[in-house]
Amino acid sequence: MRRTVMLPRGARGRRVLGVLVLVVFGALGLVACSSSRPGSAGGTSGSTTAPGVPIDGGTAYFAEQPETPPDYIFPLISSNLFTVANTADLQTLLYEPLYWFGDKGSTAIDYPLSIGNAPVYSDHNTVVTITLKHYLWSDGETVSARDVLFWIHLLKANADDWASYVPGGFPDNVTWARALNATTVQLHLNASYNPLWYTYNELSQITPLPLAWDRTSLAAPAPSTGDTDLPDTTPAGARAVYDFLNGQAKDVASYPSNPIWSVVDGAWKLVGLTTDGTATFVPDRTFSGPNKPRLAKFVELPFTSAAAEFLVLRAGASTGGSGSSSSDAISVGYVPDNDVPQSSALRAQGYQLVDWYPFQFDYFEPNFNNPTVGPILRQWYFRQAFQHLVDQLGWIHAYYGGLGLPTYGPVPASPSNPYADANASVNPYPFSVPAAKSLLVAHGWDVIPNGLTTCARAGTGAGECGKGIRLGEGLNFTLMYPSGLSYTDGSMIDLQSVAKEVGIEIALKEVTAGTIAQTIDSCSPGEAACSWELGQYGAGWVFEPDHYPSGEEIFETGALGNVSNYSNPTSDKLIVATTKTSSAGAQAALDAYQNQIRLELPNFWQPSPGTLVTLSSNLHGFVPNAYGFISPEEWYFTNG
Amino acid sequence: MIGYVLRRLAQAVVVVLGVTVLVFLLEHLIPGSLARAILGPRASQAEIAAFDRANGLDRPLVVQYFTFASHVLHGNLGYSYRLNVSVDSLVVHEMPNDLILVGSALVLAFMIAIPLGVAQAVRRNRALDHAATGVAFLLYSMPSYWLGLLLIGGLAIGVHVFPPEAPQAATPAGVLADPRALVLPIATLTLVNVALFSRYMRSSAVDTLAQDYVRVARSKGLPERAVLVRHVLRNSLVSVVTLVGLSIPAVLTSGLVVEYVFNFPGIGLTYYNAAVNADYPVELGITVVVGLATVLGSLLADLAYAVLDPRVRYG
Repeated sequence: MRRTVMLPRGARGRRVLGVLVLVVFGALGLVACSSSRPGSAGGTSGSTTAPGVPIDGGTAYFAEQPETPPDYIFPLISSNLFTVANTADLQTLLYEPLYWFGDKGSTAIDYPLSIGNAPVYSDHNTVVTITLKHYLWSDGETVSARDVLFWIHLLKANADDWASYVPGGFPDNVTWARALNATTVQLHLNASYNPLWYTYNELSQITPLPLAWDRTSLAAPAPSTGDTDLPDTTPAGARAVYDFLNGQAKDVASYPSNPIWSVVDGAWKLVGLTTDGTATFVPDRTFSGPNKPRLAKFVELPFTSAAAEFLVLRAGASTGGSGSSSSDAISVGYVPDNDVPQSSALRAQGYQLVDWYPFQFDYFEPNFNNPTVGPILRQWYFRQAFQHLVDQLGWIHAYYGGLGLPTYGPVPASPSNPYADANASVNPYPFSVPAAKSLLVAHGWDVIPNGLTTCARAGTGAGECGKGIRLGEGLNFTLMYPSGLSYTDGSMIDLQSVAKEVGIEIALKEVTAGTIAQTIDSCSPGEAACSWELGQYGAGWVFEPDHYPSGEEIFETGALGNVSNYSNPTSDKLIVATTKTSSAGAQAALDAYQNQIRLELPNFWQPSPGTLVTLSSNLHGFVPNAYGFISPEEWYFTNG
Repeated sequence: MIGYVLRRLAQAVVVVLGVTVLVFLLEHLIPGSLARAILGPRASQAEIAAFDRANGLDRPLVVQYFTFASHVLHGNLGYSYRLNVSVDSLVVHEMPNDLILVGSALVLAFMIAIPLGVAQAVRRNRALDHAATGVAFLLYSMPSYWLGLLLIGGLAIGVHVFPPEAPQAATPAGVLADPRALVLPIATLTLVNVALFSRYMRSSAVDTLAQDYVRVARSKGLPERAVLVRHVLRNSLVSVVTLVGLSIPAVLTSGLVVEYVFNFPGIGLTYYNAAVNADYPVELGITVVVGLATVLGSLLADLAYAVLDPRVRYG
């Protein structure tokens, strides 16, 4: 899903101050040379090696993203609180999802680390059977099939409170579910689905919940194995349980002491959480997974801005959040996008640098239903011409500090994944102003470089501008983008300048992330809300929590994420095929879909930014996860 | 005096209500759906409807406003749907730390600026005056974030004398327990304010020194120290008192940049982030608090005039 609406709170100020940080350090002689190789800002791309002797113990300090403290613990989380800080940096540390995604940096399920064994599909892929490994909750109960059903019951009764809910999707597509025995769950589906799609997009949403949570008040005794008529087994009861748990989750300060949240099956227990967002975890000694924590403590530190985090990195020490000493360094941090050019200075300080790219694609959006420019944007030749003006490699070099990957289609070639076809790393519309000009001229436009290109041959025939475009109509657009991201600033200004060379006028409108989220939305041509023309969120579509790179949530007609109002029957048919085709034909269906979308341009592709992660010199075991999860249970210090 | 105070308090209520109406209307001028902005592009219509219902956004604007105003009158500033916390608890949590940081800086700034301004006035157009004026202009023209970054670059990154962050403790006691970490943020705010206040104080003291009563005091043989303290300082403070009053709301908001640079969560940054991220309850709640502080500061300044200048009476 798109995480752009979760832009760091305070992102706007970060741009201004981030630039100043750069200037100040330039003045102080601290700015180092930058790397500009596309896809790398000088960091390694895999796990770090351990030159010293691994030791058990120690405290690892992890830098949270600015102004996004972990503030919701209950895994059944609604959209307004669906942030990485809550899901990846809090909930999954405490409550293990059924399947752990991101095997050693790839996009695959890591079955050895998952509670569930590989699901078995039968009856023409209409029945899924899942067996569970032997995991324990910290209260001694076994993680059982009943815990999976508990989740499904809550979801069915409270679907609108689940951030990942798509009408018709999970759990609507489960006609009934039952526990065959204590460790086996069987789901009967309402149709035959592509097993890969169902596993990666639907079963990915399941987090078993402990029996101890199946209650409606703290005063009531915690249920135990063998209890019958538990509240979750009826829709009304499941709603009451949700209301109770959601209510408990509103008292953030109580999380460490609340008897509900202290029942975990993950690798960690939460022992401290301040209002500002300093979260302290210690190992869950009852953790059943194979990767037992080696650290003695794991602390997440809040920051008011990326600039503040960077200053702490450069100073080499942090005050470490409440309760820690002033000599604590950030063990795992990040380099703000404005400061990527200083990566060499960080390396000289002893930090290890790692490039982290999520499994995502990036783009900016045309509004096909805009009453003024919609007819132009609906012309395929125009979208091709416009895409030719996007200088992805140049942008990565000039504005992303080398920390970006070009996007050529809806299934990225990187990070490593089995889905991208052979063409995923080939740009069908390479940067070329002459190519853009030729396309416009060939379709009836009078191209005026540095002026305003106008339609000289209106009509729908060959060599004419196309349906709905009037004679003399000019190519001018307003492009809305969020403030606070230096690479977006630079690339949009570059696009404006290049477009001018073929007489396309782009008025740039820099607004807050909140305004972007409020404005760029699907709409009908007659609505006032349909006045936006081109827009971008500032970040891309991350395949999380739906991990299969099919397009039913963004490119299918009427999809919730289809804010550009794109509609193409051929694309729709190919998208449906990716979700319904059996395993044998699944990749062929995915190839057909990604080829169609890559060439069709339902939006304009732009580079996907990465994150440059800093690791203290003696911390090891960190592997960038393709979906943004962290696994501090695999981290360790060395004494070398 | 009591009648005057009551009238001013009544005016304060009207002013604060007016400010909240303005902010409320401005928020709703932004096109598009607030629920969509909060819930994201994947949110279904049912989810949006549920959000609107839960937050009263499906009701007419007037009703929404009066609901908000009613809650405020009952001491409830609202609930942040982004931060999963009540606005009251945000304010209660962050304001004490702001008071420590910005309050300390203000007190320090006055302690330095007042004698400095008087000294400059007494030694007008001499070396001390020129030097202090030059430094004041330099500091006043320097944005506080620039000054903060320079201090961090030099003293935290360069020579590691102080930490680059403000204290990270969650409680005021914890903040005060880490004085080293308070040095750079307080120094940043203090230096900028000293530049401002000392210019006011110098100007006021220069005027006072030219008054007949100062000449009379000196001609009566009063020691110079007594002339400066009893006559010059007290009368010069009247104009500076206005600054004190207006500085009270600044305690809540002017720390924004320092909060941003020194990793010190406070009301100013919270308000800014709420504005950027369309967190309306937080915006409105803090507007009420800052509005009250502004009116209160202005009222306190008016009352201080009467203390400093016996000719001023409020009827």
